[in-house]
Amino acid sequence: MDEELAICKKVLPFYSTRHHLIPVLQELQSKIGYLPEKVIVEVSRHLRVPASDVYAVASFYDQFRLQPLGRKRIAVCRGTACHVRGAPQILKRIEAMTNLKEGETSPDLEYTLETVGCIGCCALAPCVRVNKEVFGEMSPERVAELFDVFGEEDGNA
Amino acid sequence: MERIDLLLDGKQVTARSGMTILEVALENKVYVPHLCHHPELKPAGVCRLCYVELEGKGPVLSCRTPAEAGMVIKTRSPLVDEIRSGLVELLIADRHDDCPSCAKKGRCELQKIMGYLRVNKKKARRLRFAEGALEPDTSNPFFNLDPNKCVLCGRCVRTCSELLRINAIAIIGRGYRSKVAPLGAKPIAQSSCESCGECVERCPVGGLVYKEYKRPEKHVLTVCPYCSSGCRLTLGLQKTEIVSAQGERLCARGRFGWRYIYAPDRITAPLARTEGRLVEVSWEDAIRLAATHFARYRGEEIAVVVSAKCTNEEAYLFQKFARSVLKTNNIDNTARLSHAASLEALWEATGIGAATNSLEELEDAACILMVGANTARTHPAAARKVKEAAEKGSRLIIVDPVENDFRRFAHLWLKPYPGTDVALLMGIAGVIVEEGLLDLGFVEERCENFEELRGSLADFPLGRVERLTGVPREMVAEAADVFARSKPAAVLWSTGVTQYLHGKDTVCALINLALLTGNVGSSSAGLHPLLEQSNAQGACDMGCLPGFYPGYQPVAGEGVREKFEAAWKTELNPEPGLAFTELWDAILDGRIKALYLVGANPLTELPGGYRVLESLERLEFLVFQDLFLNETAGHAHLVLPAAGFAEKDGTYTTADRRVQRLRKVIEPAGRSLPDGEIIRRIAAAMGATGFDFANPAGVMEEIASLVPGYGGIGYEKLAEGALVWPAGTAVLHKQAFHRLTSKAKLFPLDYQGPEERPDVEFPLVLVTRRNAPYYGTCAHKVDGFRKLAPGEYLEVSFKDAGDLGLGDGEEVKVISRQGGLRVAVKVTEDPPPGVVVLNYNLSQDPGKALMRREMRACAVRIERFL
Repeated sequence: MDEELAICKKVLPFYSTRHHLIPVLQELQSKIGYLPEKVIVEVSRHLRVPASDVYAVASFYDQFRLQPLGRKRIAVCRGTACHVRGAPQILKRIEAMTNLKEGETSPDLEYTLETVGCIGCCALAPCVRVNKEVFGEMSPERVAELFDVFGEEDGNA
Repeated sequence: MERIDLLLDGKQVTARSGMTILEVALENKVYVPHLCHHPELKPAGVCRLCYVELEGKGPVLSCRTPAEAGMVIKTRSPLVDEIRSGLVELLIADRHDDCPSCAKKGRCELQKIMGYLRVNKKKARRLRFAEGALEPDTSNPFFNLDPNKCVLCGRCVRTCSELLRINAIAIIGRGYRSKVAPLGAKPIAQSSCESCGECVERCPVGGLVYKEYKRPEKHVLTVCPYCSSGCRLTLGLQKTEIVSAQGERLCARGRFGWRYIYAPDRITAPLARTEGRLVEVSWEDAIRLAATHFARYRGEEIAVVVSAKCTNEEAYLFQKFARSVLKTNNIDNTARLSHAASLEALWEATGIGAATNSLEELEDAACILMVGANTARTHPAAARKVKEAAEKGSRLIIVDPVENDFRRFAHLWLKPYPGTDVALLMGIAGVIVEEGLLDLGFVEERCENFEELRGSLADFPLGRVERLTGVPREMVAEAADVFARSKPAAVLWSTGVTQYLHGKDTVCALINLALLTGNVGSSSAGLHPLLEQSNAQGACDMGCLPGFYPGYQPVAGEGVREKFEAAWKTELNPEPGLAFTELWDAILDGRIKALYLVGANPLTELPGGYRVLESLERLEFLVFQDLFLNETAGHAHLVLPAAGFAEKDGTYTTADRRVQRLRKVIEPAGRSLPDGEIIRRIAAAMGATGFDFANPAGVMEEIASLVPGYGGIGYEKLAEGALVWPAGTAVLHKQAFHRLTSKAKLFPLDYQGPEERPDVEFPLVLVTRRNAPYYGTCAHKVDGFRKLAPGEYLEVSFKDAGDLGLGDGEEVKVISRQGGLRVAVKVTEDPPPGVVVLNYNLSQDPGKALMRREMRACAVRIERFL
């Protein structure tokens, strides 16, 4: 059986009714990274909720992703502090380097580029977060460094 | 119901308690703007346009406020008009507002509201959000979904869930980006949408519109020609052309299926074979040809097979013709391939070969046992009732090797290996008897053969049942417990039962279960064969059966032949005839030389093992009568063009014994004629009497005089609505069964198993399944259905796909002992390991080529292309 359905098989027995819909989706997303259609169908089957309804809920909340994420989630902070200290230029630079627009994921699933409201470390503005690591006092020039760091980490910049 | 008085716009009005203010206003012909309200749907309160001013309270939402005595309501006031205008401006700000170019112009409820409130379109545009237009979804061949015109009132979504329980669409996304779309926001044609058009019927604006729309000028009430549910169909006509079909909850076939009447490849003239080619001839020549050839054969040498889509009157005439003119009982109907076994078993057990109860009663059943029925595909109307019952708390037990869209309604789903249903059902019966869950009073008083049945149940211990069927014994026991303890319980089955070689045994096993638990003869219980064709019940009632005269009076029965000889004033053949499925051996060994096929296509309907092709080539004279040429027609010596359902008068009998009028709406295409008229002409040419009826009403008079159940049925009474036979009895066998002993018969049974078992060479069991709701009658002649049909594919379980190394979408060879075919694989959760499902649609089942005599399953192996 494929991996995502195997995860469903493990997670779903702990839930039973329509009221569990959001927690189920949260848990499955945390394990799979996003909510593929077959997972939505599986949830629908298990909770006895029409698949279109499950999809409607998943598409309503920003926290649910219907597309897979890249292995490296680059989040450019667009909070006020970061904005005034040059976040737009940084975003533009990253867009150019990755060939992605905000909200997109590269076809090889390497990078996802997103923006966030505020990461909560305005003293380090402008900030970029990559997965769980925050890089402070960024500048367009230093953006390249980010990619160097990734390269060193797993050898495929 | 309590009546209440209130003041509406200064006028005293009376309402019933429980009505909302909006309903009171609309009933009193006072218009209140509204979009999301629809009389058939629950109040949603989404559009907020129906505000009215309630004295002492201010503006209230009239669609969600129950009317109370003494209320003083103003439907118009500066305050509510201001609220409404603001809301309408916001609604149209981001919508397409080019009314003159819209398909819904003149019928649009938003346009009406804008007129009512005098909303200024230009002013509203100042609120326009910068985002560009959304992409309309034109993927469905019958209708378009344009999100730019949609007001998100949700009528379509609620129709799909509340009324139809299909739930194909939802409002997805949030804020500006919300729109009506199916799962995955895919094109609607690729979703679980069944194209019934009910949402289009209810859309207030131009969001959902038919691709081809012509406003009907007049309407004629008739019956849908597709399944045996017999939905009432109102055909809309513009001059002499059918332009629409409406009814209470139609499926796609009801709404759009009539279009086959206008298919360009209808046969419009009689054709006779001359020098190997079919050439147009006149009706006079065609009738003479048929008459002279038929006259050459003795009764035993000729056979007639009639479509189960002919009207009762036509079916009656065909069997009368076969019996009294051709002197043969070789008369059968095409329901042989689907449900003749059901009706014959029911006749043996209860004395009446028909469903015991009406489908309407299902909603109050405490338990529904549904076996081998892909109901959502084959009988959408029945499927809806089952789903409604399940939502109301009825416990649904499904027996089917493959899961389908009923899964979220099912209480228990048993998946026996294909063809092993008898063992499973006998196992359930065994538990019921052993645990004392049976209705002993009912069994002792009203059934016979109980001891014999008990004896044969000993052969079905749970261990053996589990081994044979693959269903865990706990589940068998639970099914027995649930079924026996929930009363009333109804039993439904369809072709997943009857198209197996031992289908009749399975039907008997189902009858046993219903009788053991006392579930026959009371309302909301009973036995329901879900017949396929629109008039399968009627064709059997009318005696298009080799062993029965009309009304299930056995050919060999005492005094029966004499009765019909007297009525028809002729001598009749005393020998019972051959069934549709028995003809082919008889043709091959020369016993049958001529065949008259009416609306049958044995070449594709029968599995390969019947050697139909060889048989057809062997025939001396084959008459083929239908609306369209098909594979079988290629072997005909004479082709007679028949009229379609909208081109003739008559009656159809539904699976629950309702007789309804089919009405002639348009003239037959070209030179085609109604089947009844054709047979009347042939009979006249052969010098027969007793066929010169002025109209179908006259035929019905003769039917009513000869068929016990149909006594009292006549066209005058039918004009007012459906009549249930016998004599308006919805629930049969209340006091006594209609057998000589007045008792029902229980059937001791042996397990015989499917025709083919998997082995080392052919390790998998293949079953066939229709995967689209567009099939039957002439569905394949409707362009839109052909476009929607998803094509054939083979569903393989994850386990089998893993073992064989098959990938999703891969083309493979499927090889059986009988033949082979090429098909793409789809890896899914649905089939149990060891079972593969060949999904097909429209009318032809490619799997038949793989099978011998079994029509639904065979053993196969899968080979990869390397």
